[in-house]
Amino acid sequence: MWPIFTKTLKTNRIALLVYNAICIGFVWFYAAFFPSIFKESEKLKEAFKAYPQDLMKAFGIEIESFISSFEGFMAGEYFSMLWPIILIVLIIAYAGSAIAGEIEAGTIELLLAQPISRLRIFFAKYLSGLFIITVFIAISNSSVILLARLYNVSFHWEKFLTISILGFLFAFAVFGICFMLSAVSSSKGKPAALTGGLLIIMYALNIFSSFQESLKNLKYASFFHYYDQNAALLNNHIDTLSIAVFLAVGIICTIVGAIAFVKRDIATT
Amino acid sequence: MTTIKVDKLKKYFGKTKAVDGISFEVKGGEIMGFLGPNGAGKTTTIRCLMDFIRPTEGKIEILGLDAQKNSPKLKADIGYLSSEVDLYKSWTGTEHILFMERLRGISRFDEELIDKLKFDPRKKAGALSTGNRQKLGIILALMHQPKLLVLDEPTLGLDPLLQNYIYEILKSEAAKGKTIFMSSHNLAEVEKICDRVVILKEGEIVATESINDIRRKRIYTVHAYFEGEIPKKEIVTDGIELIEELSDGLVLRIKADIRPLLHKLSEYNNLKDLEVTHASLEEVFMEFYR
Repeated sequence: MWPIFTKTLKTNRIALLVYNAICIGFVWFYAAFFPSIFKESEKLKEAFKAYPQDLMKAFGIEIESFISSFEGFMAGEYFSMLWPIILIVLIIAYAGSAIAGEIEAGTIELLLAQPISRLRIFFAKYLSGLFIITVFIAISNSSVILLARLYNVSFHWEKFLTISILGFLFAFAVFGICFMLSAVSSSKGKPAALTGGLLIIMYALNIFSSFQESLKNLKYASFFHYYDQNAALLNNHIDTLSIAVFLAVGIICTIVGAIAFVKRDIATT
Repeated sequence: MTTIKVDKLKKYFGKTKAVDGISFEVKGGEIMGFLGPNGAGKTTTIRCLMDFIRPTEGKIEILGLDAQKNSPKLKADIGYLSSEVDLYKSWTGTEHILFMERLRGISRFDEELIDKLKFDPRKKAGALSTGNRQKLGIILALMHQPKLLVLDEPTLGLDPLLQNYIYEILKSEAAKGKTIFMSSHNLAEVEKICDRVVILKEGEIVATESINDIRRKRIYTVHAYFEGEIPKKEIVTDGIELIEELSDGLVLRIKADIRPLLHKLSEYNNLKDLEVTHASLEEVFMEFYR
């Protein structure tokens, strides 16, 4: 199991560096930009009042805290959409190809011909994916703290730890879905497209639910409702239901994926 | 001792019967050829042996153990080579060899195989030609000295020189007591190195024979030339197949004792010439495929 784990990490190390570099670039920009925003906070507050409040709410921007604290600013600018998108792309790119990609390329036969069970192959790839996600979250969010310090921005580090934990839980669920689809597919495009499509639908459901009262319950079908970056960064809080939903989806999908991979026919073309 | 025992193996993909109730055995130390045209079910059977796909019905035993239940354990004793070796394109040959050593333990034979096959392990797999990819596949399959080699068309797309290298290696492995089960399209290859063959057609076994028995099969091609009228109706009777009608004669195939036909032909005074040839091994195989 260990050789497959390390081989997978080695194969994905460049991608991990690139994704982290993109995040650090954005964080650098925001950390450098925030002090000037903070100075002009009163004027900006007035300007924001002219914006449609429902729209601001729908996109998770809390005006009061957005300009008065670094956590609020980052919650609105970075952790509301940009960081989750980069995280999702990383997960889909890895999980989609982890098993289905090996089947598509035919290299799965090299692994299946070795004295190692399918379950071990599955979990070697699964755990290396979780490791990559953990490293990405750790590096990208540590950079927020380091760069904020570099630009003398005041912040509460424990709130960035909380958003990291929430991000990990969100990633755990998305990864579980995509990895399960990868374990039952024979081409890497399919799990990536299905997971991406599902997340777009979930995002749309979350937006619609905040615009129309009659659709408000649709939010419970969306991961983006449970991924509440404002609660994590402003109140240092993660809702218990969010933890339960993300863990349940992640665990169930992992078990289903593992069973399906062990039982399925694997025929390369 | 029986190394492979396949019992009433069936593998259906929906309504398609890829393999339909085949049974055969491969004895320890023998080289068994697995022959058949495209779509006969050779690769499906091999994938069942390797537990890549699961039988719809039937049982496979390898080295006395259930091939599905004991799959990881058995694979320590099996070297596998597919017809088109798929490798990690960004890895060199050395990286592939080291990866296999980390999964299966240190090999003492990889250097010897690299020398024998004149393979350069420093090149990335993505830059290797078909022949060199196949060489690396053979090194990976053999480097841990498995008791059983399962090879799916091991010389497909290789030049004759490299094919001969591989035949030599397989023969020397068999001489060491290894069992080899290989599928092939190449009849000359099978004749050269196999002890026995299983011939498959449309998912069913049509023959399991030793190469010597196949060589002894009595199939003759007879060219009979006549002056004037050709007594076609009288000659082409049960057991005699008309292959071709010539302007002055007939080409016939007979799969039995040739003496009655020769006797019948000798009764025609206008018989001008006669040519009898023994069928080649390839023609014998083709008979099974028909």
